[in-house]
Amino acid sequence: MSSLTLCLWLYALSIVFAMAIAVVVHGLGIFVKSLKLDRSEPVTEPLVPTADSEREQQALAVAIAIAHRATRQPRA
Amino acid sequence: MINWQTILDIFEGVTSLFAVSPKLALARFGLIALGFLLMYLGRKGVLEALIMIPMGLGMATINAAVMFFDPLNLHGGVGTLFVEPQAGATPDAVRNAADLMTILQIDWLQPVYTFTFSNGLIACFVFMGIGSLLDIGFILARPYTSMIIALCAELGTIFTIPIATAFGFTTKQAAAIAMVGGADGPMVLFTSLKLAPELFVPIAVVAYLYLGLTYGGYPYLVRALIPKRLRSLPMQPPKNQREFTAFEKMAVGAVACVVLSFLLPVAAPLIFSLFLGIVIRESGIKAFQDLISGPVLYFSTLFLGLMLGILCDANTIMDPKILPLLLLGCCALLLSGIGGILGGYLMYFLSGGKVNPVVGIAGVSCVPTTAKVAQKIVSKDNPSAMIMPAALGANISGVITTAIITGVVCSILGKVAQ
Repeated sequence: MSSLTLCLWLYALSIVFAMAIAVVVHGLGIFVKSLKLDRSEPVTEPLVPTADSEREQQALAVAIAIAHRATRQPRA
Repeated sequence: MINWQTILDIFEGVTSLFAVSPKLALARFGLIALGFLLMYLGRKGVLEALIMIPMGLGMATINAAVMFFDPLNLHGGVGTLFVEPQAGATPDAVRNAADLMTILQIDWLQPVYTFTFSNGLIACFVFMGIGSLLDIGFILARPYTSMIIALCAELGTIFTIPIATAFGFTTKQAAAIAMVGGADGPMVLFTSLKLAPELFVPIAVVAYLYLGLTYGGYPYLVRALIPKRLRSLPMQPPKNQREFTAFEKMAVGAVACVVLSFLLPVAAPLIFSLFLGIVIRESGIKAFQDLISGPVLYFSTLFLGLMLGILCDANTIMDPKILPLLLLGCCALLLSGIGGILGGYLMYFLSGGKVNPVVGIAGVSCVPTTAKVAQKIVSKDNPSAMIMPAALGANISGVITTAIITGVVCSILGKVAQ
């Protein structure tokens, strides 16, 4: 196969794939819109993986602060 | 006793000039000057400063810091303490491992080259960072227009293949070189690693050199091919445009990532990296977004520029294969730019004059440089015209089409013997 024929094949295949992906993107847009995903409760900022809930994270922060204060040297 | 020779031996950067051919010695001076020029043009904003400043300094320094040191006997007794890209490139696996271990313990940038550059990790990091700055809503607004423009802007990626084969390169090498026309650094690195590892270093250097030059060169191409009347054309948002929430964009990004990886596994690392950035951006995890759009993106961009400069040593650049690569890289980007503008014209006529043809140049997927270039050109002619959303849509589609072509080329030519 000559390199010109090869590159025309490559271009044709790329055009088909790209247009298929444009259809998929367009379809995805319509599909996702129809799901009405944002009707659920508002999303909060995710927590660090060490805490399972916001309350636990706050408790962790308080415990760290107390531990830190306990180890501090008393003022002269 | 200290004599004149001992004093000369202290300054090996200078004395090594006399140990190599005059051509190579002159090339060292030329590259030092080019390094300074790149830094100057980066600082002036003519070329992309983020790449050009570290690259220019790296290029100038590597050609100055040559000494009588060549532990692997690859360069006739002279070398540097920076990096050895040819370490571990022999057919003997045992020798490769030993060579690589030796060099890793000596050259300070070798770990960065071996563990992030030559395997494409740094390219993936850059893509994650770029993804975290992209709004997928721009492509959702005009999927077909964006994709058609991006496909036209791949003209250089495709039609440089027969030109490169006419220069005597094999089909695989020609395809790896032609990928420069996609103007997507990571894809160029990936394709050259897959199809022509022997040309990896020169192709990477040429690709990034030209990607920096698109910033300075494309405005002239656009002004030459599009009259002022059309350049100043304002663009309106498409009729019945759907507004997408962050959650919807995240869902689209996640599904598109899986679908594209499903279709093109060969480009999956890059597709995944890009969409990971997009999904993180839309997920609302601010800590992750700050991490990848800041430290990860800038750290990898800095080291990418630095590595490219360091790889521009006289030995590599004076390789007889470099000159045709420079010509072919220039040809590929020129053809892609012209193709993009033709795509812009096509959409201008198909839309009945609603699409500014300058958007076409943003189809060349040098994200977000070409989109910025397009807006800059239009703003100069008509300060109230805003084409950035459409330009970014074409730009993102450009990344997708380059990934598609990478996948198609690697899948088809990967099985070809030569």
